[in-house]
Amino acid sequence: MATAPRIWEKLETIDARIIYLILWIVILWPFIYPIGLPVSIGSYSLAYAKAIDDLPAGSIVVVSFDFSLGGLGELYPIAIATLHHLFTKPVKIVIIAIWSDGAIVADMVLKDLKPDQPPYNRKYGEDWIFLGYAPGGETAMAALGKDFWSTLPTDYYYKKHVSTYPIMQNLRSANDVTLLVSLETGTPGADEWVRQWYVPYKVPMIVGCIGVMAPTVAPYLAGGQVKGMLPGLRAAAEYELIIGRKGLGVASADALSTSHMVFVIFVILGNISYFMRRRSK
Amino acid sequence: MSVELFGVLLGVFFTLAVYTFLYRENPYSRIAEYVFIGAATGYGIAYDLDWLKNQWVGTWSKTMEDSILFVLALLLAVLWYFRFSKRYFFLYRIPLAITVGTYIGLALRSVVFAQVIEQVRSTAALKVVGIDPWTAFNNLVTMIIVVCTLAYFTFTVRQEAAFWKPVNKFARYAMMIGFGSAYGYTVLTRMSLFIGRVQFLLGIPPNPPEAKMFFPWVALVLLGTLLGYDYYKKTKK
Amino acid sequence: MSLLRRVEIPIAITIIFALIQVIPYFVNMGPAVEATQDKVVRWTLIVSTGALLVGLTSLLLIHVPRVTRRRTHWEYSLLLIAFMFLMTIIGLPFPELNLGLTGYWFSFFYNNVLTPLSASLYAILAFYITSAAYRAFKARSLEAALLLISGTILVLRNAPLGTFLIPQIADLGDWIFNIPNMAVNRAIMIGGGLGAMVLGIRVLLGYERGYLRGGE
Repeated sequence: MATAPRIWEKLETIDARIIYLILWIVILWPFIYPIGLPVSIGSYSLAYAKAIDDLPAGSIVVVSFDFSLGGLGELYPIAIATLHHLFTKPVKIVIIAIWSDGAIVADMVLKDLKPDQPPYNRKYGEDWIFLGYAPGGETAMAALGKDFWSTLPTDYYYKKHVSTYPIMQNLRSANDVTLLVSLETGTPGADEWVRQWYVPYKVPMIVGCIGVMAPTVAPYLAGGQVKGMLPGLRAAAEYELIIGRKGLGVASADALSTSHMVFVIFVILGNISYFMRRRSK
Repeated sequence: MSVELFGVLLGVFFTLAVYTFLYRENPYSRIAEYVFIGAATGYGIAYDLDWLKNQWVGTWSKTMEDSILFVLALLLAVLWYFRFSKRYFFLYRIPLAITVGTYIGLALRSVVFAQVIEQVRSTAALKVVGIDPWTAFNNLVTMIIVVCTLAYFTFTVRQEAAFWKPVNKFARYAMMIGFGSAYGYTVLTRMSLFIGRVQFLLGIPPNPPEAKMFFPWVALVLLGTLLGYDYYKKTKK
Repeated sequence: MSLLRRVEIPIAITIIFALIQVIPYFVNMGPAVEATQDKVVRWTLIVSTGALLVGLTSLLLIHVPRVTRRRTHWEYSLLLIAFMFLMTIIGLPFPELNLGLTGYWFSFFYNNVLTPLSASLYAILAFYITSAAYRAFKARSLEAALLLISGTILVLRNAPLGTFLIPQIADLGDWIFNIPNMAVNRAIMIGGGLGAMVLGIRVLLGYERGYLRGGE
């Protein structure tokens, strides 16, 4: 019987590399042998999609890429799905970045989607525009809210003055914006947008964020400052199902299941070994 | 090998080089770490220079007055450099003071509305009568948690009276349940980010499909050399 | 020169620049003042871009001596400096020379070097969080048990398999998110907001000087 506590002790001090290896295996496995579990859809994802569906024709939507490349795994599927959804609607889309990495990702997403080509056929400068990165964080948000033309005077791709594009004729300040979509990994993000765009201009906002951010956005959701939220990869999968375009989010669903389940098993095992060892003492 | 293909190979190499750190610190992980810091800094500088040029061309070069203001701003921007000089440190404080002043002013004018008034108003507006019992219960719980948690973090009052003890205890329990949410979402994020890298390594669209071809070979070379070196060192002893 | 060294000067600058943003926001002072206020914000952005100099200089101050004195790991420092200059040079805003953010080589390096490195470095935490949870996430007290139970429910809620096996976990997870989590975060937000206001007022009154510390 004396061996029993030793087993629990050993289990508690297991080489971390074994845990790492197991995690590698359980995440790789479902990509090689997919399970295809259904993904139930949450209310926030529905609200996020509805905010875009309800946009009147001709509305100006500002999509801000407020994230670092570190958030790519969660936000890339959200960004692709959101822009796809927007490009299928008769609205004007202005893409900006408050984080410098955000400009890279926006460029990647746009190169993947190719909005100028079918099925979208949206004209650059008329239906959409990419203005690039505005440094300064919250200060840049405030400056953009006041004056788009002066804060981002040229576009990202052609370096032409924004006044030469038809889409920019109706966009001078945040007062002209119907919806703000912030795709974000941290600060500056929702807090700052609410401070600089919701408080003075009452611009409605939806947020696609990494999971870590979700709990801090919750008070804005409950208070009505944020209309909808996609927190992380699970929500990305839900949103892809809502808009009928399966992508990286749905493809990740099985790996999300296996990794989370293994995580829970590790927590349970860790607690069992802890209590067994404590009891034996 | 085309340049594009070589690019994918680089991407696979750097991804796996980072993960070799899980085995132990090694030259591959160090290469990844140092290249990342260098490239990220260079990238940031390039973006700032691009933005500055656009500002000059698009906005500040239009009038003489604006041009002078732009040059003055650039001169002040250079003063950041004196952060590293003990003697001229006072010069560094000038751009810092301008930036902090504007930032504080911008935040100060709206933080009270966004974070205090709106949130207090949303809490006070919650109904507990005349609605269905479940919503009433949830609203009541919300209000009690908000008040108790705020009280818990009130340090300006000495919390010695008997009624503070259950209030603080309840706040602590509520926070622990609430933080469970943060914990769950943190796990989601960490797993998702790694899943994203696995999707890249397996070449799942829109990732380049060639990555799948390089992945096993690069993994084999990196792991093989590390394990081989460790085995060699062990047998040499 | 000695006058310039006085800490009161940057304090005065901070107060003036803060007031430029605060006063016209609450008191209607006409479009001319508003335009100036807006211009000051954009002008500050140009001043603040120089902050990157601090990062650049700090890196060079650490890594250049390492290379010149051949200290441990100097080869890696050389690599760091090389990539820093490489990215800066190929990103210089001269599209006519095929340089700049939309240039071929800048795209090549950010796609194939910066993106995989950045994304992978952040993603490595998945391993550490799992290992840490296994070792340290134990129900050692009632508070820890509550966090453990609530956290596990949320982990299961975020896994499609969790909601598939126990459909009620979605409602329970959402309740935790919408009620206790939201309420706690709201209280923290109100507290943080009040703290930020107090900090702002202290700065305006010149009491807060921590950010100006340093030098001789």
